[in-house]
Amino acid sequence: MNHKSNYNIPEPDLIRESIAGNRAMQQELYNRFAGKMYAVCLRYAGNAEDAQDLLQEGFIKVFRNLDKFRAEGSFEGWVRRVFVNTSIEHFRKKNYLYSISEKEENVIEDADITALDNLGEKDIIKLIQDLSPGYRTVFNMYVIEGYSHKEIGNILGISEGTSKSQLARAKAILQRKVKEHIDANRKSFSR
Amino acid sequence: MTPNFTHKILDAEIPPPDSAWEHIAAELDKLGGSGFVYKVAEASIEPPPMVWQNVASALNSPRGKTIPLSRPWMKWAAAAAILGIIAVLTITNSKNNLVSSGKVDPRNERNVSPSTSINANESSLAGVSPSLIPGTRLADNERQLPLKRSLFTNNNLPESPQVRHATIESAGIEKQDLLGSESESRLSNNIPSTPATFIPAPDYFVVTAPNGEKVRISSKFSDAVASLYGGDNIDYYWKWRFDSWKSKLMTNPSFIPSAGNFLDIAELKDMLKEQ
Repeated sequence: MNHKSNYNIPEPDLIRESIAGNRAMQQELYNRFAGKMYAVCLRYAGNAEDAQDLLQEGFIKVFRNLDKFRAEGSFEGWVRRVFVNTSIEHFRKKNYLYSISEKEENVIEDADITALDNLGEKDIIKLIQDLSPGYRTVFNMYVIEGYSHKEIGNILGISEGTSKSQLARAKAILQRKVKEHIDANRKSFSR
Repeated sequence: MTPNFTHKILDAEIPPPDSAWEHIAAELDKLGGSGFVYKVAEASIEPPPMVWQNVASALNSPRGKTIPLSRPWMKWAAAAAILGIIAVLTITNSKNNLVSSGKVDPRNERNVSPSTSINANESSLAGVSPSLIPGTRLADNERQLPLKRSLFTNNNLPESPQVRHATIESAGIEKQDLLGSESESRLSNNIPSTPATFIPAPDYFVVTAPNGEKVRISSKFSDAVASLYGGDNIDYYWKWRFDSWKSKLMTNPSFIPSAGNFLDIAELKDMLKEQ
């Protein structure tokens, strides 16, 4: 299937027609956001199969709640929020919360992960996917989505301190993984 | 305010202090690699084509919980579950058909085969023909069944037999069927006692009654039946015991045997013990 979107159709028209049940317009809306939302799902899910489930569930929610979009912010932001919420809900359902230790670990030095800038987005997503579910969710919510630790604590039902320590641990793991990744690439390049 | 002045103000440009960008960059660094955050946030990866098909089919269906089936094993599991449900429904339906066609007493389905019918023409143990059991419950005012004397004429039973109401109630026997003309003279001592065939099976074995009808009996009774009718190894003691039980069964006023329920023999045994 071609996921290229026809950007000539204005977004408000696309939304209105999709609410009316126009299947072609719904598909057009799907094509417009599927790539970005699949990337969101991959970041949270940890593997492609779960990501597909999330993508499917997320789009169904988007289409069924499209009439609730009030156009007060960007439509993409609204769609993204639906997907993030769907992913977090998935996280809760799978009891991944148990993977987050409530024990606040000793202060870990805030790792420098700017080396991630040197990687392509697919490589970065792959590294994030490799994190354990707890680390991955907190990292995504704080670093990418911009939630505060307090908000993360409230949403995931953990303490603010736990959220902080999870993030610090996630960053430390990522830092090590980035280094390993770059070293491995260097070796294969020098051969 | 002249339009010219407004235009000037809106277009005014004043160079910021040199340190302004450094502060901003430092703040962005605090966020942790702003470059990769943007990259990740804006990343676009083409999803598999089947996702849209699933979304479209879900949108076609009435609102409800959607079960994602992206994993191959889930599709197989779903297919197996559907086949299982169909099998269960088919079996249930066939049982219902057998019940409605009179071949199975729902009360005794565990012990009696679908083909169970112990010689209604020869006034056998099947005191109430399965075909007369519609499976409906009696109304409260119909539970006290004034059984006709003629029902027991062959057995010289007392005029006011004690009816096992609970049995009748649980079987859901309709009053008019039980007392209809076809029901008369059904009880006799003529229980089939000479099986012509004996086919062992894992859970049941089949016995052909003297009238040619096949009766499926729980294998739990295979030893007892084999010892009675097994040919070379007839246990005359047990044969005598069974014959006496059959006789008691037929003449006991408080006992109405159900349609071919072999467990009634066991119940009779308990009754005899009590006596």
